[in-house]
Amino acid sequence: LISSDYFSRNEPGAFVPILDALLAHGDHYMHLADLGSYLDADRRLCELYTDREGWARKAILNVAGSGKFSSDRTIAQYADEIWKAKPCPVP
Amino acid sequence: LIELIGRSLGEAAMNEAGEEAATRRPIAAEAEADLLEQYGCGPIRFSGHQDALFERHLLFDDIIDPDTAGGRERFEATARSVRDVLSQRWVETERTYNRVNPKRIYYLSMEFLIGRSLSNNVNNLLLDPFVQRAVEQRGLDWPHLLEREPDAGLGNGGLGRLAACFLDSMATMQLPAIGYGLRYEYGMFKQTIEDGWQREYPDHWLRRQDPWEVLRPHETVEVKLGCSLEMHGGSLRPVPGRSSTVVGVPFDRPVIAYGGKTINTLRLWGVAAHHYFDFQEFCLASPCNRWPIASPGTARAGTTTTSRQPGPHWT
Repeated sequence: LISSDYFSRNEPGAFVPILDALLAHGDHYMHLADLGSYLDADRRLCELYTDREGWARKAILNVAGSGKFSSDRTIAQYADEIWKAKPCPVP
Repeated sequence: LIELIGRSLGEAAMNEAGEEAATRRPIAAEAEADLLEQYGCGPIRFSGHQDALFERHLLFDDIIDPDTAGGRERFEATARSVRDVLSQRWVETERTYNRVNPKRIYYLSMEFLIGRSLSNNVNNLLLDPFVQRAVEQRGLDWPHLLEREPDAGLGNGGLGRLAACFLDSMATMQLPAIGYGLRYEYGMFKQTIEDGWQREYPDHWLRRQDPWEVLRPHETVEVKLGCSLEMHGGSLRPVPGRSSTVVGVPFDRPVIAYGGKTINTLRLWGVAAHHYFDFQEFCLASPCNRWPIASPGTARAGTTTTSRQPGPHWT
């Protein structure tokens, strides 16, 4: 699709340098190294999406599991362990 | 990097959820009176009377008939009324810190992605019932009014949102903290796509006076530089060997704890030129350049905080 100018119809060849870097010049930064496993995961994701209950279950567990990332929790830990700062309540 | 992005996105989502829950919580009349007392306001009315905060702001700030106020004026009057309610608590917070002299936290960040402040501040101050009444009394379209506030152009990604979440949390945890950043006047650019390519337009989010920020002219700070700065073809260039001075001008914004007990400060620094020594030069150099409203200074000095380039995310 990229080489056929599907994404660059008004400007043929606009993405050739990107293709060259990936395919002709050895993909120095290994962008394509995990493309296979990425596509595998994408396939599993699409399958799961057709299973409404399984999808809902994972979505709920995912949200429930994110509690640890609360900035209140983070700040409490920073204040306690790193900054050694205490609350100063305003009367 | 991924952990940080995930963290800030998670926090943004959690914040939204918390705010929605707060919106639906009804508060009884006596609780409302207690709330105003907590903010040190006395028997003051928020709206619905010619002597109420909202109506007074429309009349005395804008000199208009409150019934004919436009959307932007209504937004400003609401925001100013909310700021009136929190002002005494804000001063009390600082007074307490000065009296107790606790260890303080100074949070420095290039970005604070705070978004729009009105709904956040109303929620955190538990002022929903007051706002709801104002909406009924004055026939306000609340979602439309919220839209009149420009998005603060102070950040563009995970780092800035994390900093904003941290400020909110530090206030809610009653920690004596202050945030320091830069007051970008043009903020982020407005993105458009023309012929498949991005074109950037300036986003002058401070074009109308911001109702939250408080200018502190007496706390300006001189910053001496070992070079001068000059505009050449639209970009700023250092001129070595000729020292110069710019003046940092602080603007304070309230950072409100959930429940409104603590009100910390986000101090953003704008830039002005050192008095008016090169006003003439400025006028000659760029005759069409507007005199910056809030931070009088030359084009040169003003450029330091003029815009935040969307560089790589430093997360």
